[in-house]
Amino acid sequence: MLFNFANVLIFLIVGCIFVVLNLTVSRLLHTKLFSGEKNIPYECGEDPIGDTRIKFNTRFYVIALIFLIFDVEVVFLLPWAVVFRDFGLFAFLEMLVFITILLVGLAYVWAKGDLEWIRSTQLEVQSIQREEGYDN
Amino acid sequence: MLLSIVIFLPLLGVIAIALLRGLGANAVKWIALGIGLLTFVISIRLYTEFDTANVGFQTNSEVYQKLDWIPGIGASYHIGIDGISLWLVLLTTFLTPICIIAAWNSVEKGLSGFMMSLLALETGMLGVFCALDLFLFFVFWESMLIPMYFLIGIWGGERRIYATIKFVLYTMAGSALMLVGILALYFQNNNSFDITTLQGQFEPSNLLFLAFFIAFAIKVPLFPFHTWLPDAHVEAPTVGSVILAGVLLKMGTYGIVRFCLPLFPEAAAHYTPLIVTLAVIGIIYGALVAMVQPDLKKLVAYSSVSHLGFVVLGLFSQNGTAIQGSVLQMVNHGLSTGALFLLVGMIYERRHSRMIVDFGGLAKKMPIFATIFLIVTLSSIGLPGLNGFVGEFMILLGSYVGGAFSKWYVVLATTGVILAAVYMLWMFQRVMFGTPDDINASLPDLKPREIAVLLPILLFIFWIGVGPNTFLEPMAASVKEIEAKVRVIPETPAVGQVNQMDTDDAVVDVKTATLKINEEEALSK
Amino acid sequence: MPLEIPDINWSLLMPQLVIVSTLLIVLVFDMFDAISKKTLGWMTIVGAGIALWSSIDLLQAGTDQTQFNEMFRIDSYSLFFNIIFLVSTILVALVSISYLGSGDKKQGPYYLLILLATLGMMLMAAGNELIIVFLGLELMSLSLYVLASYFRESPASSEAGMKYLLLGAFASAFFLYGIALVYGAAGTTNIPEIISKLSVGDQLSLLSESPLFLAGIFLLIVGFGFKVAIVPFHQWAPDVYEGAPTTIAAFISAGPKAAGFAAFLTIFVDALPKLPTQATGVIVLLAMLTMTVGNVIAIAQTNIKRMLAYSSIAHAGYVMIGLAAANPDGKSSAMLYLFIYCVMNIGAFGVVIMARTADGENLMISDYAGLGFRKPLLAMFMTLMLLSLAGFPPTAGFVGKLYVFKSAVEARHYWLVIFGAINTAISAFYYLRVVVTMYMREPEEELEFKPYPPTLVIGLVLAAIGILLIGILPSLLLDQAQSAVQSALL
Repeated sequence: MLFNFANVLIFLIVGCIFVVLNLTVSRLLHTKLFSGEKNIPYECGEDPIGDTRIKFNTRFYVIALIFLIFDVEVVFLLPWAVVFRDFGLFAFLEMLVFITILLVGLAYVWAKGDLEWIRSTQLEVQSIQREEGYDN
Repeated sequence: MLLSIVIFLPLLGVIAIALLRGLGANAVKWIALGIGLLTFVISIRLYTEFDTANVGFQTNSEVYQKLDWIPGIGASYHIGIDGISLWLVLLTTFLTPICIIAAWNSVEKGLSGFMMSLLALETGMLGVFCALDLFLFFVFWESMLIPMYFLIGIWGGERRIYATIKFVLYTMAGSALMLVGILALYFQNNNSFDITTLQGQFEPSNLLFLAFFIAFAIKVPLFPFHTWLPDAHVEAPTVGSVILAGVLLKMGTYGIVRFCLPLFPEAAAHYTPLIVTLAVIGIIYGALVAMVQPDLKKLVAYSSVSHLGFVVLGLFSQNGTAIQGSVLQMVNHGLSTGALFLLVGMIYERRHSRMIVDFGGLAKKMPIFATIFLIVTLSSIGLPGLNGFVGEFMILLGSYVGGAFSKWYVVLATTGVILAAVYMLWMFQRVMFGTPDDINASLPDLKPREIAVLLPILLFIFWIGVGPNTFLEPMAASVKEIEAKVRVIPETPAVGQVNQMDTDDAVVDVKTATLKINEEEALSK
Repeated sequence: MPLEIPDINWSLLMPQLVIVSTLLIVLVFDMFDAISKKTLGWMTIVGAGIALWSSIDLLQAGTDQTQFNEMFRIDSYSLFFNIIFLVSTILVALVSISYLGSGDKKQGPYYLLILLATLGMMLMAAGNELIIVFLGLELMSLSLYVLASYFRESPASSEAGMKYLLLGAFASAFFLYGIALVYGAAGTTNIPEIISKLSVGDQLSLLSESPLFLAGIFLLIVGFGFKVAIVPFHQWAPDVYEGAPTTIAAFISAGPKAAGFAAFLTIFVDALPKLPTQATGVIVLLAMLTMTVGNVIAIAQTNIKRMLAYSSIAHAGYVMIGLAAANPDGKSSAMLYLFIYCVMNIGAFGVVIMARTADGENLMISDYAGLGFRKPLLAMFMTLMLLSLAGFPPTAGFVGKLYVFKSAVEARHYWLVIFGAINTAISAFYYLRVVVTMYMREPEEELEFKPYPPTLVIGLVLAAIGILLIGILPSLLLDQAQSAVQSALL
């Protein structure tokens, strides 16, 4: 069984040799000229300006998560569509329940205002004032 | 049912106090006292119903009970008494009401909690003495720690927290080992915790013996394990000390009689030289340390170490007389040391000091106190005619004549008797005689309540001293059975007629012992 | 290939279905601001109560079946664990209602997440299949990450959530990798099948010594170790418990730990005797380490939540004793212990919540000074819970410990038991220290306590009754646990 992997091994070795060989050849052949241009991260293209760390609106994540859920739903729907005829009513009801649950979730997100791109900050302010909910 | 009632009546009292504590301090006291007395009165029936002919546990259905409790692991609610536990049960029920009266006015905060702890403690202690199921035994053994922990920790002296934690940790460390031992026994006993069916060889017997013995030795306390005792005694409130000395320490020696000796006779014999050496060291060391104590309570505490050394010595002698003496001595020590702690507590309430140097000349101003103190002191020393003598004499005689160890041990132990006279009488002299200073001269004598606390103890001190047969007879059969089980050295001459012995021989020896006491008194002056 | 719909017996799935429906109802009602958030808490309690009732019902009927092509197990074992989870959930919800108050908009998801986590735990206990176990594990963990950081404004809570998330995800990865390797070696993820492949007749098969399989088993131990916080995978626990809302700390320390052990026990109790002895050695070693490290470090704590965190680590060690015993008694003793542990630990955290002043919780042990006489009810509850945690009779903690030790003695792990017994004595020291502080020390400053919320008191009374009842009449629970294991053997 090990022998089956021999070609993989050969491929690996040949690959390594190829890379090292080319690098060596180019090192031997190329001209050695230095300039300031050569020291910037991207020798060609845009000049990097400012910090690489930028603030990203967390709402993107929320939207991405919601998208992901429905994306996965589609993955589930496709095989269901294939066998739908064989199973009939049972399959229909099953999927109905599944989609209803997802819809309730969507409605929840909507009701909580997470689908609004521009949200009032009133909610956060209130909850901060509440100080961890000690109001009893 | 009778025994169950005795065990759980105090617990009922705990619940009653918890529910009725709104009625005020007086009501709580009277409820506690009522329950305590009722328990004692009921427990007297255990004695009147006792069948002395019965070798093992009493089979009377009033006393013996076995109910399924946790069938899943083979534990049952199984209680009963024999001649050995009978006296410890009575001692417990006897001392508890006395403690309640003694604490009548001395508890400043949390009175209901105090009384509840005291009664819960009583249930725990009674349970330990009556349990015939290892699981039940262990439950009581451990659960009795909690009320004691509170008694010392809340109502104790200055260093009470240190003392109470030390007490609990020492005991728990011991019982942790015992638990392993119990579980190992359980599997060798056909998956049952029943004590009455424990028979034959248990492997590895030496280790199992040690697992049990160390737990009990800590409780006794035997010499190297004794360091918790002075701390606990000094910091405990008076009543706590009384219960601690009177009953709790006896749980250790009781455990040795009930488990270590009959279950592992070979191992017990194997370790006898070591244990007896420790016991003798304890006797002499306890006495010597007691001699130099400036604090009355500490002195009494170390005297306990010494006295219990005798008990352990007797128990390991493989001799019926000595074992019987040991069991009697457990009761004696409970009475006389309990009384000593009560007396120290009474004087402390007046003088707010326990230092011997602070006292002197009390005898002139407090004649009743001095008289009672003297009687108790003499009982503790072992004056013939009082209880201490009978027990110590039987232990020494039994182990000298038929002991499983060298007679030199007994000779050395006997010096403990002399030392006891030295430290007790010297203490008595320093506290009672001489001229009182202003403060000591102003101390009032005992009140009727305090006399009422001490009189019943005095009664028994005399009773055991003069007519020990009342007490020896019921335990004779049980002790004989233990003796038969522990006897591994065949050539030991059998000491027949245990009861006969102390009427005949005791008379002769009373004289020599009296002489000895006289010498000692001369010495100490 | 013709497809067949597996025959689904819905009545067997009642507990899980009830929880799912409750979850949806809570979700729907949370959308309306007009409904008091306390109502959601009560809905959670009612839902969990019904699920509990149906679990008990199924348990008494002696159900022993599998569903969904043997992926899902409804037997006494999983039903017993359902009871543990649901009791924990009910107690936590009771404690939470007053802790969170009535008006906060954020509280909807709180109960939702608790229910989701509960569902995850139930999946883990019912999983007859490593994949289902993993699914339940993730459902539970993801909910808990959010719950741990529930007080967003508090840096400690956010830190707790972050730490939990990072280490939890790490552990999940280990676990998943372990499943992959086990699958690679055994060719199946069905747990009973894996175990049966370990032996041929009376002989151990090649699989039991295959390095790939053992590596997988080792990774599974690591993964579970993280989830149930055994040493040396415990570091997250104290930080998370300290930072998370106290109710959630109670929740994390109870149900999820039981769930982790539920899956742990399913796999290992039957597999251990068929693995090389080193595997048992590893478990024994981990148990000893866990008990000792947990107890010794707990002694040094001044913050009560951290102390309880280390104590809960130590308790995981006691459960490991049952696991190491690897016999039917060991399994049932671990189950019994987990049940008792959940009740008493939630109780202890409940008392921490009870000791609140206007400026927050009193987390320093020294704040409890003098409470014994000033707040007798609080002190009494605390004392009871701590005595039970320390294993004093006649509380449930004692019964649990004794039964665990018994199973290990039966398996001849004497040293393990001696270790456990000594650890019990060590643990008594720090538990009793709190009691000492409450009853025997004078307070440095007078603290103004808030009045006790009634739901909290109800929760604590229930816990206290449970502890005493099981302590005095252990048969009520013990018989159930034993029969649960018996049925699993058949």
